[in-house]
Amino acid sequence: MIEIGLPKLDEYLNGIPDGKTVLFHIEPGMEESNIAMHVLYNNIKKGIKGIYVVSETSLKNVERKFAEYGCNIKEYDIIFIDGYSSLIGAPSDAEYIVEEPHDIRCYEDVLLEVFDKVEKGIVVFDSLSNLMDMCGERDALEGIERINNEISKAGHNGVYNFIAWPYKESILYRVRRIFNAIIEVKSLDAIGRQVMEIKKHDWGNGEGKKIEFKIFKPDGIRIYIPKITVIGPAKSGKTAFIKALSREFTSVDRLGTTVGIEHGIVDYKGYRAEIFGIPSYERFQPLIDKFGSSSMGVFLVIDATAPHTFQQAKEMLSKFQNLPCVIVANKSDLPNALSKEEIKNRMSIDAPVVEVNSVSKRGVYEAFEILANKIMECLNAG
Amino acid sequence: MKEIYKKIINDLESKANIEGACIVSRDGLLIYSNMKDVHAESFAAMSATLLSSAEVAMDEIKEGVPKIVVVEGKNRKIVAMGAGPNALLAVVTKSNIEEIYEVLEKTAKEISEALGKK
Repeated sequence: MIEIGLPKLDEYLNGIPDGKTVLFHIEPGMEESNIAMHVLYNNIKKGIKGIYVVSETSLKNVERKFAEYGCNIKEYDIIFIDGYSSLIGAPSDAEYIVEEPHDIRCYEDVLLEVFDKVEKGIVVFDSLSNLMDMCGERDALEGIERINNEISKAGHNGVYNFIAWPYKESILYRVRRIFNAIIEVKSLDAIGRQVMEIKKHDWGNGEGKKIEFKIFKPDGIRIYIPKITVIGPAKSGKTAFIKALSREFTSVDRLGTTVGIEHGIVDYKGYRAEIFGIPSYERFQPLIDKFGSSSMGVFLVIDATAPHTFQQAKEMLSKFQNLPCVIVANKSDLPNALSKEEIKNRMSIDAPVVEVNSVSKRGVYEAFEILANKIMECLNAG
Repeated sequence: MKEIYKKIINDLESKANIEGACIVSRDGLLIYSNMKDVHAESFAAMSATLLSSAEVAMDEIKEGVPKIVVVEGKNRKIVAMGAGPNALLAVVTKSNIEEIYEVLEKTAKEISEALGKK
């Protein structure tokens, strides 16, 4: 069993069992089209053998690309099958070379030889669309079907990049048939938001499930939540909460009061989220209107020792109706703090309450996980 | 789209003395950046805050939408300019604003058009 390396997507897929193949069906023009490389990196880090079939760029470029994401490929157990050097008549350092890269059977010959030597591995094809261009669409797909059968028999895994150029529907139909899972990768808008959606899943029922993602250098691929807004009454501890949660944090505070937008970046368990803290005073209301828009979820931070501020907190939340929300009961370690149940009763808002101490970070990541899950549910509910 | 933004910013850099630039959504999300050694996401959020706050302040004095926001540092400036209804352009430069204003305005227009295409 291998994993993609994106927690929620792996949950929807229930991992990738041995022998299964996955195709990343990638919209042309995406910022990063080599998704399979990230899957490979995630698995070789765990000690799984990698087999990388290069057909559209040089090995040097592949090495450079891995290095951009902090991976020195020489430190890992990867076999490279080079179908590119012969194409341009260049010498190759690869252990395995495809002498006739216009013939898919030559790729098969080399792969069979490798499969005989490797007990269990993950085979990455970069890319199927390029093989189809080089070897002819039908011939390439027939060859890939045979390769996938071998992958299945040997218990390896196959991961393919496929740039979805406007091929004929009959060819696309054939592409869809020969893989166990298909994950569509596309952009959502001009701002650069991108989603992955499971289109085929023959060992489970993940079809239709999607995640938003982004690829960061050098951190790699992450489930991406572009905006979570943090609101709450004055002195409830919004700044301390964002600071406790964030890997990077930028604040604009003067005399102990936040006077502008605070910004934090959260990196947690395969998630990357951007956190926008909004000042609490009414005079900053226009900023709430501008920056609260396009938010995917809300942390409502309250001071668990100050029930007189709860009504104001509820009013602040009215601007974010229908968005996933978590109530962060800050300062909950103090002796006069109200309990979770008391807060729930007094607030009477249909949102989970998490007891937090931003200083010790108790409950901080629990709150994030609950909100991130709710945001994912919301994304998948349409 | 990234290639289009990259081209727009490269063009800007070829015409004006700019140290770095980024394209940001009006609500503070980074769309594209070529800035090095900065937390581009934070810079983007703060640049959007600058422009938004300036817009609100200008509105208070009934002066309409600000054309440009300039923050002068010891050696360099941050310049933020609206690029259509959905984005803004933020640059770091040592140049005088008069020297680069026209090219910034043209760049902002190109960004606005590119965003409108998607």
